[in-house]
Amino acid sequence: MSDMNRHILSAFDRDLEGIQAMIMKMGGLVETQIRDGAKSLETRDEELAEQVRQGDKAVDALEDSLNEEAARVIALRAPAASDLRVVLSVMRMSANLERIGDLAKNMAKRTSVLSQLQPVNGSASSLRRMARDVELMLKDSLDAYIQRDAELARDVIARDSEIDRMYNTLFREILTFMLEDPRNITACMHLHFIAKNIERMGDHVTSIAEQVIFVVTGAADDLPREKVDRTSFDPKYSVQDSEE
Amino acid sequence: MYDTPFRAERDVSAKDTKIAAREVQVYYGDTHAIKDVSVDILDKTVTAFIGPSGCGKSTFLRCINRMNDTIDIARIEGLIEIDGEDIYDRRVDPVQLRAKVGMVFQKPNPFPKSIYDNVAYGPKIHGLAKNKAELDEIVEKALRRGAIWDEVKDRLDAPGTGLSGGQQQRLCIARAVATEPEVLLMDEPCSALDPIATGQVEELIDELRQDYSVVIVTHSMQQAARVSQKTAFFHLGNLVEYGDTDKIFTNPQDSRTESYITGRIG
Amino acid sequence: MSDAANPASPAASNNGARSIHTVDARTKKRNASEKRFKYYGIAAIATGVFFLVVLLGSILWNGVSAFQQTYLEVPVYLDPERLDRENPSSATTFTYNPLIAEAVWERAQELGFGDEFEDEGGMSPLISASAAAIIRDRVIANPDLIGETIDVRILAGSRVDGYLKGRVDRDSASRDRNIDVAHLELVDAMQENGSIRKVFNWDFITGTDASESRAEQAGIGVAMLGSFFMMLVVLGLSLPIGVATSIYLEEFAPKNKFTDLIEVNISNLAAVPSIVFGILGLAVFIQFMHLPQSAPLVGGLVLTLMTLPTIIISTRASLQSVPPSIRAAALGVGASKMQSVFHHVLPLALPGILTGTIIGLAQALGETAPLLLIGMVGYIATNYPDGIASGFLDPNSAMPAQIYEWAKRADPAYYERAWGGIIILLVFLFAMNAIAILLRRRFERRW
Repeated sequence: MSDMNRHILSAFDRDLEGIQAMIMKMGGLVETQIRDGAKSLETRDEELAEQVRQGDKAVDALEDSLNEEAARVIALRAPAASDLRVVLSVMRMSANLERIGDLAKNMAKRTSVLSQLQPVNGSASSLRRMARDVELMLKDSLDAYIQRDAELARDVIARDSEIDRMYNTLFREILTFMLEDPRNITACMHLHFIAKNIERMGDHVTSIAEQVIFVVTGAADDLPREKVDRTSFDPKYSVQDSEE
Repeated sequence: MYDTPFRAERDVSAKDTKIAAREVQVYYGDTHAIKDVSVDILDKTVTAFIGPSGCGKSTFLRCINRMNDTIDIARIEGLIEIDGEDIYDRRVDPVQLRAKVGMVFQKPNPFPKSIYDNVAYGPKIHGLAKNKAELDEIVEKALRRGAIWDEVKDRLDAPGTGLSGGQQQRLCIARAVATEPEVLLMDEPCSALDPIATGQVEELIDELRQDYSVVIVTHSMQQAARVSQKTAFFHLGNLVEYGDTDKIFTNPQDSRTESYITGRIG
Repeated sequence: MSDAANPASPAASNNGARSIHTVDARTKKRNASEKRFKYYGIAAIATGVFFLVVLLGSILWNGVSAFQQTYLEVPVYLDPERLDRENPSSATTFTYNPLIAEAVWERAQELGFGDEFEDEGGMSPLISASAAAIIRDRVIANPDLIGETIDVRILAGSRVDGYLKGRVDRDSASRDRNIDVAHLELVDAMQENGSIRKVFNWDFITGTDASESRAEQAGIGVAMLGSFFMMLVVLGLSLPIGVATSIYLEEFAPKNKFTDLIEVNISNLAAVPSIVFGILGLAVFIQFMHLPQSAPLVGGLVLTLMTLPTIIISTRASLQSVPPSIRAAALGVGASKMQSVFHHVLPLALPGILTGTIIGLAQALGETAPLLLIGMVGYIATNYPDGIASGFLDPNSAMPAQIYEWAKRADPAYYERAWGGIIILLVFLFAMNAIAILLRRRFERRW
């Protein structure tokens, strides 16, 4: 908001600032969820995992009230142009954040299961690194949103391919573990889902970054983005990926 | 891009240019009211002029049917063409021009005569009807076009001033279309109407788009967004931005347009 | 009364809340001054009404009696020896005078007043000098009456009339050369007997002016006709000229210094004293153009000059009051400027124009000063104009000028007639204003 003139109707400014503050709060909450989820996985901390699972309720509640607020702003203020984009982006971002929250919760759920099983070597720290990167991307995209920084947002989008690459590496790694010792299969399956969850989080963060570009430029970002690594689609590994 | 049906309806890229203005300047005495406005207004399209008060949108609208001629101190430079003909050419009689370019005003202004006479007046002075039966036909057609026929068909002899505000405005639109114009200019046609009547007039404007090139000046940005396919934003006598309405209202290119549309202190 | 001088501090009262149930000092003061102002207004109106009542009252008090006139009713013997049946017009009024005097003398003797007066010659103060002419006219119209005794109503002398109306009493009669106290005694007796009566005076309304000494005969009728012809001239000239001027100035004329100048001058003309128009009329119409003096045509021309600014100003005001949206609407459907004016603007302005015109005419009707200068005053008319042309061109008077003239004359009977004339003039003015109001009510449109 800082680069724009004020509205003649100051209540409109307050409304827009309000929903953007809410989305930031939600973003912060989700960041913590990711961080705590990954941490609980690494440290096999069931208590923390439980905390993450409970924490998702707050995210969901925040999403509900954000949608309500956004609907109110649309109904009462009839926003146009950049204001309309702010409201629209906030609504989409809240949906993305809610999904990320769900994924973090799912991660925490699997963590509870994993902590009962034999730990699999090394993969947890890879996952933690991956989660850390996604968390950073999320932080950057939220910063980009606040600062209306399309460059930073594009950077975040670019970084998603790194996440994809990490996922693919992990995918191969987990596959290898499973081939080595079938007793690992249960744990590895959970680990793979967690990896997939984090990879999905990355996609949602990318979507948030796209909203930033939409808010700033008024157009959807149309930069070509290629899948750099198509490992998961390689028939060699013969795994069907329904998403993407 | 995926083409939705309603997007196709709003698509005006295939329409012809009806009014072409080039570097139009208007002076009121020493005041430079319109500065260098160039715009192509399309046929069978609703074009909205928006902008803050005193930005020159009404002034420019009044240039199109030479209503500014009635103001002594107004001076107009530049070129305005309708169908390729310069309307400020010396051979042009403004009276003839105004039969081709109808106008509807801010305040509903029916003549204090019967509903029938209100509509019949234009055709009468332009000799469009040979006899009473033909005139009756023209009046009925115009009232139907004005979407008011059903409400007044039983009381054509009643005074036009006795109608409600919305009906009066539709009567004025019927009066304007009775002379078979090709362009309809509307100067804030709904500013004196309640939302229901405004809705009816807007619906009518959308229907009129089939036959006319409609230019509407409005203070209500929502109205511009609702009824127009093209929008022109005027500011301090300049045409700041002109483009597809959906573009102007979702992603204007000029910061002044942006400020105005979003209700900011520009 | 200054609001700023007395900063109210809401915090001073309980919890910062000011009760609206207690009226604070400032509000009281304000209400009091409002009430005072209302009383001033009522007092002003009351004063106005008081003066109006006094004015109308005095006019009626003084003027109503002019509408009654005293007549003698005696049988007159038309002696065939003194009147020539074959050639009735050969006998002048001098022949008739003794006949009438004898008839009255006879009645006086019947009533036992034979001693006071030597002969029929003593009866003349009772009889109007114009009585003979009235009987003569009747005889000329019907010579068969000669030789018969006819019951005629003879105009009584102005002193007798004055006595019956209370203007003359025994005290004043004793100092009056024209009438004696004895006459008054006779009049009393004749009134009792029924041979002197006051009746409604149609002749005052329809009649002509009369000479200084025959106040009882004077009427305002011819002056009314003079006024009527003048008004025709004023209406016929000032309405079209005024309306055309207004339409041009209001709708067509470019707004520049020149038209501004014209506008200012028209407004100024409305304030020019009417006597100036009179002297202008004298110089231009009579001395330069040699139009007949004292003619209603010239009076009408002068009054036209005077009425034009009024009509132009009121017409322009009513043109201005037609909303511009009507003009825009007409132009918008492709009407030409003239069509828009004549089809739409003028019909809407018409009630205002007519009202202004009637008020202008009423003003002109009551105007005296310019008429004095072009000679439409004084003892002018003795007969009705015969025909339209002579109505315009023959010397005549006008109602206000006639009133002025009467008021100037010495005989108090004329003074009474002046008041009577004013009543008639006022009736006309009221009627015209009523028509103006009626027109406005009738044709006023809402838009």
